Amino acid sequence: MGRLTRLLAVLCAVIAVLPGCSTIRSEPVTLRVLASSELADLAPVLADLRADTGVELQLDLRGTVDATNALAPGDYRHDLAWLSSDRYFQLKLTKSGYTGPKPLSTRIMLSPVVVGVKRATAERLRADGPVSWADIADRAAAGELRFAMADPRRTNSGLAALVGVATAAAGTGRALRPEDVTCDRLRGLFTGQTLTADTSTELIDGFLAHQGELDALVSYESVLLSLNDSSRLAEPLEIIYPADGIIQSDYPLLLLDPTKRAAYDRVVDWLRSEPAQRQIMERTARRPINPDVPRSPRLQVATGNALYFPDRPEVIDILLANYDAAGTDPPGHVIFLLDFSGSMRGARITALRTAFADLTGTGEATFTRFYPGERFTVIRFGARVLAEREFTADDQADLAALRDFVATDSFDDSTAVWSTVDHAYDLAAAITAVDARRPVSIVLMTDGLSNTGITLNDFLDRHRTRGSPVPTFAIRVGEADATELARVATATGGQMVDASDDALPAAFKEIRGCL
Amino acid sequence: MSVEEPSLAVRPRPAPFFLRRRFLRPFAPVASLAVVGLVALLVSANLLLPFERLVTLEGAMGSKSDFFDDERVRDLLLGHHVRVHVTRQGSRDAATADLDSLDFVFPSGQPAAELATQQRRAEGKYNTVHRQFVSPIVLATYREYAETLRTAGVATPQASPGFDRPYFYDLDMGGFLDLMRAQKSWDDLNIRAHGVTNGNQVLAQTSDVCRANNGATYLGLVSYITHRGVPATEQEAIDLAIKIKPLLRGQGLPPPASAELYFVQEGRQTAPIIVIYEHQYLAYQLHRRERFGELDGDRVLLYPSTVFQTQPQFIALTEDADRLGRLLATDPDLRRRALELGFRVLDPTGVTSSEQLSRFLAEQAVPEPSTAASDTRALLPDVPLLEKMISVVGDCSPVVSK
Repeated sequence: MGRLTRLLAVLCAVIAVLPGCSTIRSEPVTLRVLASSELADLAPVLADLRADTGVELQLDLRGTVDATNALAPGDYRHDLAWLSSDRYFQLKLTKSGYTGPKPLSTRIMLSPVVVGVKRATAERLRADGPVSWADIADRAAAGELRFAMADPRRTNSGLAALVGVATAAAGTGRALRPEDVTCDRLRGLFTGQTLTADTSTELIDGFLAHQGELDALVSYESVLLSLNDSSRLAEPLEIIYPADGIIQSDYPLLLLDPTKRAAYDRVVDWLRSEPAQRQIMERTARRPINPDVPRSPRLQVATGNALYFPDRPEVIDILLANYDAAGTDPPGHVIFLLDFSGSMRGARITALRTAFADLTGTGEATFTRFYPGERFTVIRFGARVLAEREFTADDQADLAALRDFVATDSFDDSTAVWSTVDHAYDLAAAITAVDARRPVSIVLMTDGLSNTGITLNDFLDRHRTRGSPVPTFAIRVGEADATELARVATATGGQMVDASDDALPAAFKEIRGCL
Repeated sequence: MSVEEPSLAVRPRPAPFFLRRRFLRPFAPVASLAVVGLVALLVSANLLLPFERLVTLEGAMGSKSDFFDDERVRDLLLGHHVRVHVTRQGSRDAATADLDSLDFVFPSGQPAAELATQQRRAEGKYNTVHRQFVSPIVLATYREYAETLRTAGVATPQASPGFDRPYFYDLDMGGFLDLMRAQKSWDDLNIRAHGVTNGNQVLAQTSDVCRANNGATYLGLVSYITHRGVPATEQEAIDLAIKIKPLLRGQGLPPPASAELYFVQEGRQTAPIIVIYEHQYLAYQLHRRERFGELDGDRVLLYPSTVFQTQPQFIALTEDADRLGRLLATDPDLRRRALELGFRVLDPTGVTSSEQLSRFLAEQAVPEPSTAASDTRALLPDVPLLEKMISVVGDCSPVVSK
């Protein structure tokens, strides 16, 4: 806006009575805006913005994470940025050690990242009450739910979903810290991700092209509602707001070039005005940031609780690395060593069976259930190996057989912990010899002292010469020797978890992500 | 205009008026329109007011932009030939910004204000301070959350005579911090009994401690309760900051301008318990009453057992802004409007007169909170120690006075 025009505008504000003042038009301005791809749907709103304020926003559309990676302080190539969320940008600035001034930022509207689900799938999910991410992960691992989700390495909808499910899976009720994500509990969930894309817009196209083979679509509430309004779906999607939480997007408009401040102010004032907010809501199904604008009936539903977003960039790095690995690493082979000495009788064996019911999909829905492609060797031991059998997670009959295998009531009198672990390492070597890429891990669950067979020191001596990379995760119950179990876990790169009798299922879940 | 209120004035020798930026910017174009301007001024008979020409003042501030964003305030200021252009950012950001490009900063509290005045003093540059109102820091929440805390034994409803339910609760801050330390979730506290579920841990969201006064003041509050006082030495401050850091970082990435997320309809899910200033809540309820004829019965406030008054400080960086500061502190209409926006307006001697606010709330049929009088300066650590604590808790660099 020229100096004279500005002055005129200012004078008009003072002398509102003078005729002719109301007709002063702002000088046309064009601003280049680096924008998240799904903002393409704002075109009609932006046309009105231009008509009312003279400011044209030219959107350069990209996936939000891609767009953010194109934002470098001191080297901005656009006048403004309009992102679904600037959380990733904030973390990127933190990571780069940047401490200079941050761009002025104003949030414009809201939309949570949620799940659109076909009716039949929704009904199955809802059978046990409010649907959580854990339910969705459980069904996905069971091969019963195939979903489309945009790439978290490139898009906000993907990243928000990834952070949301990881936070829900950690179950800490607070923002994820690096120590919360040392293991990946999302492998099972991502076996159900059969379609991805580089932007949330491309994801929709992909979903429409393959809607017959898909059960669900992870995206913004606004995108799902708009899709339901279009005639492009074979059947409408029911929107699920996961009970264990969502990540909200708040669409901040960032001023990158401070010399464009006057036009930025006009844009922000207009976009946040009641008429514009109403138009945004009606045309794009996003939620107004202006509290005076009543929500349309379909936006009056609660969004689900917002999860806290991590403030440490390392957390995002780890989550993305795990996501990468889930796409490339083959499923693992887990060797379970289950102590069947007499002291396991009663409450403990019941808890163990509950744990395996959860893992094999007949118990509580969980992030950690076995997923297709995984293989297991389960060993019951006492003074020696009592029984040993291999199972796969691809086959429901096999999983039923696994449950039967741990349901037996035959117990032994003594416990040869270290001889059994030593045996497991022989097995591990044999598995690796056949399939070198398949990760192998050992889970040792025991409730007593090793009173027969080789000693821990014997085992560790042999382990040193063996040089196996296979970790042992120890679940300690009852009277088992914590020091010894911690030693074997440390020596092999595993972990020890202490479990009271009834917490046995939780202990299995805790280490499960590391297997 | 009897007040020599600004006590922290540093006045370097002013440049001749014709070289001052404020003069040069508007003067040239004004000359060409002088006739129009003169007519307007004569018509409105405003010639004798402090501002004889229209000036636009650049200000940076946090939530106190609520005041300058108000249309009535804008109109009143235009009547005094002042237009204020606001850059909204966290108070600490505002106070440490490039002050030379601004006419004034208006940090929400004293610690951030002190950073700005220190810097100006060190550079020998113009600054005067004006104080217009105060507002206590509170925890804003929803009824079912307050009732859950009541069941947990840490919140007590205040009496709101004439209203069918409580809008304000006294919060046993020590008990609240204990729940946080025990990592209790809302589900653990059986919020289900009130019809909602929430697996998130009990905590109050704030804006970034490194950027906003609201976060820094809450840090001060948590540290005061934990330590039963303010730290005396730097080592004590650091130890204390390390101790309370987990309580303040559980929320992860802090939302900017967090109050906004509380007042939208989705607030119950997005920001169910959040640190704000009392005036933000009162302004909201007054607005509800005016626009919709009824109060919002879902949103309620928790008053921490130790009350923290925050005192916004208008720091003028130019003489024009100094005149605005004096206007804010003395003009009856602007003071009245501040009251209508929920602030506890200071009387001309600098004393809080909460009776005015009580009377006004009663007139508007908005319930009145009861707060014990308290003094912010006695409760927050000294600025250098607070800065140290902010840097430890927020992992950001402390602002060192030059």
